[in-house]
Amino acid sequence: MKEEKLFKSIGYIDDLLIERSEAVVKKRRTRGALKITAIAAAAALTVLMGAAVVEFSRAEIGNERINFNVTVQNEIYIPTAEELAEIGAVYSDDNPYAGQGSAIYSDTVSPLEVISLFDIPVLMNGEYFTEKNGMHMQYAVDRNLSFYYTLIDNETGAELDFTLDCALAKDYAQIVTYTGGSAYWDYKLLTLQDGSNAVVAQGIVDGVSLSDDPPYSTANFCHEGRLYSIHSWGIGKDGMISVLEKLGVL
Amino acid sequence: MTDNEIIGLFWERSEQAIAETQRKYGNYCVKIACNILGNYEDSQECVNDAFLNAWNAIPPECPNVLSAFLAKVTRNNAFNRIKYQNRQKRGSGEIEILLSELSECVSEKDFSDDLIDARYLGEAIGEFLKSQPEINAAIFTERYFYCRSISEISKMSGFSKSKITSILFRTREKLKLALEEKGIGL
Repeated sequence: MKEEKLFKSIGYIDDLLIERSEAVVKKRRTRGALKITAIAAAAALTVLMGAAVVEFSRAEIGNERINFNVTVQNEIYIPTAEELAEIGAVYSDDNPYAGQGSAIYSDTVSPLEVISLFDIPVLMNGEYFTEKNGMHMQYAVDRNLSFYYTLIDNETGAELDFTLDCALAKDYAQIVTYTGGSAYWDYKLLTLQDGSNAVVAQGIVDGVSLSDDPPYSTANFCHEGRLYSIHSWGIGKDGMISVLEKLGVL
Repeated sequence: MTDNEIIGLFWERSEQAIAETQRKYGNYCVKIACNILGNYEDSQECVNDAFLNAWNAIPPECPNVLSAFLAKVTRNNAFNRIKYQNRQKRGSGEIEILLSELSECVSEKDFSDDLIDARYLGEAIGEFLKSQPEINAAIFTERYFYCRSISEISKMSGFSKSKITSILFRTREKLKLALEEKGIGL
């Protein structure tokens, strides 16, 4: 076949082209990333606001829990430890955000730069939310790359703590939402715009306890191959659904 | 160990040459084979064969760029291997896509395998690539030498997949013209 001949011939191109191509391609990425100073543009999401009435289920006393599986990783590219090291990240035991296992962080490479360099889209709609305090990053070798950030809901003032988890394993990840051991939770499985599932839950409802505290709610879902977990003490279950709508995923 | 030191071991016929080559370039070569074969075990065998080829070739060969030398041998082995395999098993389909793209560079003129030496054609392609913008040549090389997927190149470069596809398309078009101008009757 002619194309096979051509393919084979490409095996004889100059050594320097072969040796340098990867560096040239990666150098381009670094250059391009330097031009990116904000990630707001990456979050230009379509916001579909609706007044949907959602009926929640009640998980009552006991260790009942809500499980659902989502597929993560898909085509998502996660930088390797070596690539992070190339841009100045270092291993450190002092990383305050390290979980078990080795972690990487850097004073010279910010989470925003990592996000820009490796084109990791982040849910963060600047029209409705304001970022607070910047991001933190944790890289657990052979496990995941996680980003932590807090958004203020411009409308309600509620603080929303986000965890964005990029799993390294091309595998299934299971999101598990636990009910409290002796608490009442309202929960709802939702179908997002991309067809995947989300679970929204509000803890300790019906004034069982903590009646003076603002409602605590969570949302767990997978978006574009990444796992998101949102926690807030400022809004209830309906408020959390509204957040998902403002983010453009629901 | 430097490349020159490794090549020196080959020339001394020291078996440590293979071990050092494996240590330094094992993963690099397996990745190349895997891009073509889509199977780790086959790729590993392919790389072992490549190192044996290197052992048999050096001396008298004395590669200028050891990594490129090993890459070429590995790629060639992987391609030969896949030609003998069931076509449905080819590299999870990626190599089929890649060959299909390359077929665009092939005109409908009469063609005979014996008319053109692959090495000569490769040199002509190399000359063409050197005349192109560096990034375009690198993307072409990553795609058609290293057989990386569009998606992987996109992630490496930061370009969108559509931009990579577009660059490759334009480069293939130019290559076709360049080869025709040289009178290479593909």
